[in-house]
Amino acid sequence: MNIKPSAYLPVALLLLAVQLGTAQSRWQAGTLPAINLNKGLKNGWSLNTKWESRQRAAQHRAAGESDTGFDYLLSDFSLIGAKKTGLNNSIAAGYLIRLRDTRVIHRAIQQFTLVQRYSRFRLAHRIATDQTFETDALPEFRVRYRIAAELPLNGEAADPGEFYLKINHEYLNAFQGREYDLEIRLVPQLGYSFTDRNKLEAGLDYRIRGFLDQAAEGFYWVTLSWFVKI
Amino acid sequence: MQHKTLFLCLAALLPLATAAGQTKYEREYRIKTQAVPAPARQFVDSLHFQKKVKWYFEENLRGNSIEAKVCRDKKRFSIEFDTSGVLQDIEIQHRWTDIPEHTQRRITTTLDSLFVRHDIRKIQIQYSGNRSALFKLAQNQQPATGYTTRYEMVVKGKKPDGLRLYEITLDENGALRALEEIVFKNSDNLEY
Repeated sequence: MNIKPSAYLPVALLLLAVQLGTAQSRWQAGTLPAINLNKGLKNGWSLNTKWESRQRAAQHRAAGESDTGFDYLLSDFSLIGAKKTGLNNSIAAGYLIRLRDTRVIHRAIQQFTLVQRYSRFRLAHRIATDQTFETDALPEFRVRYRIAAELPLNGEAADPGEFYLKINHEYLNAFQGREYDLEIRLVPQLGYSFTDRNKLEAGLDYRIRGFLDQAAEGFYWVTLSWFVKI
Repeated sequence: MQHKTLFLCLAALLPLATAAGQTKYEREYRIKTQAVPAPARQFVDSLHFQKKVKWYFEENLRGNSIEAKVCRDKKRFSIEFDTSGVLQDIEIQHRWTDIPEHTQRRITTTLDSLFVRHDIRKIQIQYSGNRSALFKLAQNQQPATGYTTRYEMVVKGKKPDGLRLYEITLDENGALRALEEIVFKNSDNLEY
């Protein structure tokens, strides 16, 4: 199997993220496993269910205040229904329930996705809005845009039995009461296609927020995502 | 306890992964120039492309083949051989405006008969025939005989039951030779 030099890109991005992270006063690191189950239905409809969990392995709150130790943080369960609206685009809406400690957080999700297919890679744009509701907290409204590129590491498409590189880059505008925050995510991942309907991706999910108020907080999650279409 | 539950969930999902594996087999991957059969390499070398030639091995249910892909004068060349290096065909990507007007008319007439509305996304001319004729065609020369021309196109076409993407092959008179719907690769991992 031939692996191009571009296979080293996730490592370079990881090092860059760590470098940026050292400049931040607060950071958290841990793991972010996820399972995505997808089901195609008739007339261009489809369903996506997702389970994602977050575990923290280390954090740094302020100078001299660091701790390590594995902490289970939360689990997300979501169900999204999508309808193809064109050859390469679809609209979707769904609901997410987040279980965090003893709290239950509710989130409504709406999204539009456009997947562009080029001769040597695929590019996906996602525009989404969501509304989060939690007891004793103001509702949070977010408007987000994500661009995702899938680059095969061998040949012109990520065929079964081949590795690929996937890079997500997302901007999330969050409004809560009179507060506004911008979160930026960069997620380089190495994927393996067992079949066209069964893929595994692993990499780093780097997030930064609070930097508009000089209170930047970085998050480094090691991801492992499994995508299955039934 | 939480870990135990997670492992049980994963174990329960494994049969789904096996079931999801029953799909059409098609795979294309890069190969090194040294792995290319000598006759194929010699043919491509004799065309003196300025840009780097990329070699691919393609496996599918119809059989395996070796393909050289390269660009010249902003046109993409795809030269296909069988696994022993025997030349099969040459495909050269063109812009619609490069196609002679009388051919454009024939193609349009055929597409009008197939679709309510259509849009040509990609067009390439496929030449098959004897080696010397194909050599001349790849050099932008016009041999008198010894080859067949086909127009292979990717067309966004609307039929009464919906809009789809098709791969369509027409002969040099614009008559339909093949029509296949293009099934997109799964993009769930890009959408969610």
